[in-house]
Amino acid sequence: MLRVAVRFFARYREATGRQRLEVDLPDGGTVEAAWAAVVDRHPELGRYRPFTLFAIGNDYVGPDHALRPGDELCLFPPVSGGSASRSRTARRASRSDRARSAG
Amino acid sequence: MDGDIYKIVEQPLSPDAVAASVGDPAAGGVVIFSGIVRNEKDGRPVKYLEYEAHAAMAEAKMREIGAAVRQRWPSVKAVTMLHRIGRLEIGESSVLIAVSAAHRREAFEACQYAIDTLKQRVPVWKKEHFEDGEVWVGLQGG
Repeated sequence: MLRVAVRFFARYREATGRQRLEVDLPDGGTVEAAWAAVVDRHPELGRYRPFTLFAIGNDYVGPDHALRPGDELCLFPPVSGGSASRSRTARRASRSDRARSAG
Repeated sequence: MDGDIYKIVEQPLSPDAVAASVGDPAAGGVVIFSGIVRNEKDGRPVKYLEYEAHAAMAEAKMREIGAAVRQRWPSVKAVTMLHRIGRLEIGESSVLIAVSAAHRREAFEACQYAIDTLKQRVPVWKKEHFEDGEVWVGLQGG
């Protein structure tokens, strides 16, 4: 089993009334699985999935990223300058951090 | 490069201080961008703004932007990027970016790149407070 901490920011912090939540996942659980576990506890976040950015440490990660014990997963609403296409900004952000860590 | 500054701060920002922070005897120009709290949003009067950040990650992302600036514009001498968080009143500066370079063209280009990229990648959110409500910017329909 895998226990990870989830941190909420801005709108998500206000919507859930909390800054942190711990979720248990099966070994090898992904960011997407953690999101599902969070939405299980806080269904009010479910509709925001297409706009959400994920980060671990100081880097954006994609939904398929495998979590490790002790990871702290941050859930971000789009950053404040995000205008026309919010989900495109999210994809671009996570893609470029992955590219950098792969290189 | 060691002298570059990337910080999330809670105090008012000073353009004079950031200009001084990028001073370099080989610099022929300094460009400063200051983002200001505006008094309206789509015609609706704004009372004040609140900014929130993931400070550690925001500073790391600003540092990455500074590194990219230096790679792309090698004549850049120094970079400072500051973002303020907390409650900001109309007319106050929320973000200050200063770039010094040998020539003005590089300083202008690098500063514009820095603020545009900051807006896309740095985890900072703002909440607009109106007379009759408040809204987190960046998520609509909520």
